[in-house]
Amino acid sequence: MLASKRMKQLKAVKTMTARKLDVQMAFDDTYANAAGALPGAKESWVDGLRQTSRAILGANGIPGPKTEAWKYTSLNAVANTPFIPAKKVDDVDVSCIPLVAPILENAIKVVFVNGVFRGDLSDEFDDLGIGVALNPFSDVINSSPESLRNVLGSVMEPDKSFTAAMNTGFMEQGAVIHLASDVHLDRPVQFISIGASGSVPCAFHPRIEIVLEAGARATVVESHIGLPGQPYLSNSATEILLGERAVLNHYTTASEDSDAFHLGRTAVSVEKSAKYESFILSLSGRLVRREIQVRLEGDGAAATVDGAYGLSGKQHSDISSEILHLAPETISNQTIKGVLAGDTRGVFQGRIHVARDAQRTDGRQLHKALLLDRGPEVDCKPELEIYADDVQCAHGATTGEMNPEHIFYLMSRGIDEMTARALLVEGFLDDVVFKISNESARVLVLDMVKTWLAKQKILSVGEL
Amino acid sequence: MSLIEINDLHVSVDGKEILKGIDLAMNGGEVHAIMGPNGTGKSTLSYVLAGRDGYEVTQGTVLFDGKNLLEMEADERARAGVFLAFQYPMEIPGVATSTFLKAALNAKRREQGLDEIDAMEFLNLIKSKTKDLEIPYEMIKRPLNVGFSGGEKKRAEVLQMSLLDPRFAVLDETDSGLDIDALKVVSGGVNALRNPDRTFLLITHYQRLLSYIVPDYVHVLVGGRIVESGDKSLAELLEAEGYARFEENEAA
Ligand SMILES: Nc1ncnc2c1ncn2[C@@H]1O[C@H](COP(=O)(O)OP(=O)(O)OP(=O)(O)O)[C@@H](O)[C@H]1O
Ligand SMILES: [Mg+2]
Repeated sequence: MLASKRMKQLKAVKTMTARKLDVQMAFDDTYANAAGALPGAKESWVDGLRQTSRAILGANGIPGPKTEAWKYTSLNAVANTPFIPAKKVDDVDVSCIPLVAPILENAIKVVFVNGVFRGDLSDEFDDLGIGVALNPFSDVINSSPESLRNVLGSVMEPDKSFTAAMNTGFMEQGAVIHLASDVHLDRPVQFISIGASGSVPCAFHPRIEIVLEAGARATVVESHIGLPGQPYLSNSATEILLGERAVLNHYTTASEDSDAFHLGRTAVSVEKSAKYESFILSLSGRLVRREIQVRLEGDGAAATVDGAYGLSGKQHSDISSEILHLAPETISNQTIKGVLAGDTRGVFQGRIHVARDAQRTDGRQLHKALLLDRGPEVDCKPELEIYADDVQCAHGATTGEMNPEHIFYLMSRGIDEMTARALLVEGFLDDVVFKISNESARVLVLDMVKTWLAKQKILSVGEL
Repeated sequence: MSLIEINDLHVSVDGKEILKGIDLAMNGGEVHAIMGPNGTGKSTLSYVLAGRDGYEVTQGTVLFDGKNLLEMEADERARAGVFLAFQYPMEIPGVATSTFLKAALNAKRREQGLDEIDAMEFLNLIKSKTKDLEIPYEMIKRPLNVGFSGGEKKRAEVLQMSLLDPRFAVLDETDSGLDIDALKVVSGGVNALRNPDRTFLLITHYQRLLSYIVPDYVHVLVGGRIVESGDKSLAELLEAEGYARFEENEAA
């Protein structure tokens, strides 16, 4: 008896160290060997960023339930998968990609497979007009690293986020968008990041940098998708700097392969009178965590940080958001809606921070979850931290089942129960999707929701 | 045989008996009106006919076209031709009115063995119906009933009715909340639908509606029972005298 208990303890200790070691091994062994060859490695500041981030990873290991930010989302499955760097994967068949990728109408498409830029699958983007620069990240960091000196790592905070640290430690490819003052890019840019492990689990860390100078405007969509195969880990990071009066619409969709892991972070700085409108859609993937941090740095800066998620099977989705009101008269609006069925877990962590000087701030947050059966778990952690006295802040959260009166209303018009439920679930999500101001992006997201719903058998089971 | 035959209908909600033996037969082409004080069970009757859950029929039968209506699900009843214009139409966020109308129309068409309606044909149909009912076309792009004014909701109900072309329509206080002009438009819409094969049951508090849609019969529902029936002059009498007379009887 005693012996077996001891064995158990030993085992526990062993798994804990293994957890730490795995990170180091996976990330030092397989990756570090190649560190010298990583783009921009000759620049000491770029190398420094990577080294620091890796040191943080090495010191902290993979965060567990004791780390507040990861209280509701376990990384055990990630820790236990022996990922290799994705660029070593060469048996990827890309022929089916055009069929699975959600295509944004009229967009400039920039495609990555396992984090590697694929010019052959992308649109031309060398000549998008005066003041518009869209380039592969590795090109920019190799040929004009100075242009990223005050951008790269300026708001990503690898010391505060495991997701950011992992990306920054191993970033290699990605894209950089730069818009000069008052330039309006009419065509949206769509990044399509495709995970495809083939026969070996792989990890990749795409990095996107978006800089809009004063008065510039753009729409950017990030579509994260995947192909079936071994699990892959898509660890993306997007860093965004918006100058005064700039306007960015930024929509991120994750419809990963059902065995895949997705850990992504968006970090945004919004200057005076600039506007950041965003939407996060999380539909598939074994574990999807989207982190977003928006810093409203200048007077009158505004952000919409909406999102929707749909979960079935054994999926886990986590949206962790931080909105920092750092200047007076800043505005933030957030509505996140989730539909859950089966053995799933939906996490929303939403922190709103209002600094002492951020008077007359307006911050609104709402999380609504709709449960389709008794299986799912929803963890919602809203946090308001207000240091200014003249502010309007409100947050709300509801978790509920379908309203039988709504079902009856639809059925009383001849619509069968299953169709009624499907319409209502779709409507529940569409309600927030409708807030996307860019029409083609809105249509894309509506379509994705519809397609997702059509695949769900959950709606055919009658009783709640 | 009548299109609708309600026999000795007793209905309880949460164990409390609300309808205490309703007898009512309605033939094709007839317009019946039900009037009665607040809380006497008028809406309860309409919900039981439409098939809403939570209403327990403890006694009695309802036949629709000879079939046992009470055994049918709400959606089957609707496809068979029963329509209820709700006293309080539900707001459904995220579901565009047009999407909903199309789903309802197609459900009916499938039942009739027809193909789904073609997009253009649907658009034209909606355009002409909204025009007839003086509903701004833009309204049907909005989520169903969300933010509609009281009167707009009622017009939307009549739009649905006109689209689904029911054989038996129950209008539960469709007149309340309508302005004077809208009342005329909506009544005109209902009158246009009157034909020998269609039966209406109007629930109302006001004689005014009945001067636009002239009923063949007026029934007074008090305390869960029909206590008197007559022609349209009964409505005028009620308007003048109220329900005191019946309520005394009820208490006795
Ligand atoms: N779920 C319920 N639980 C308990 N009582 C209920 C419930 N639903 C209805 N009732 C009661 O049943 C009675 C009849 O209600 P109903 O809505 O049918 O009245 P009504 O005649 O339509 O009134 P009004 O003219 O005000 O519309 C009322 O006393 C009401 O409070
Ligand atoms: Mg009523």
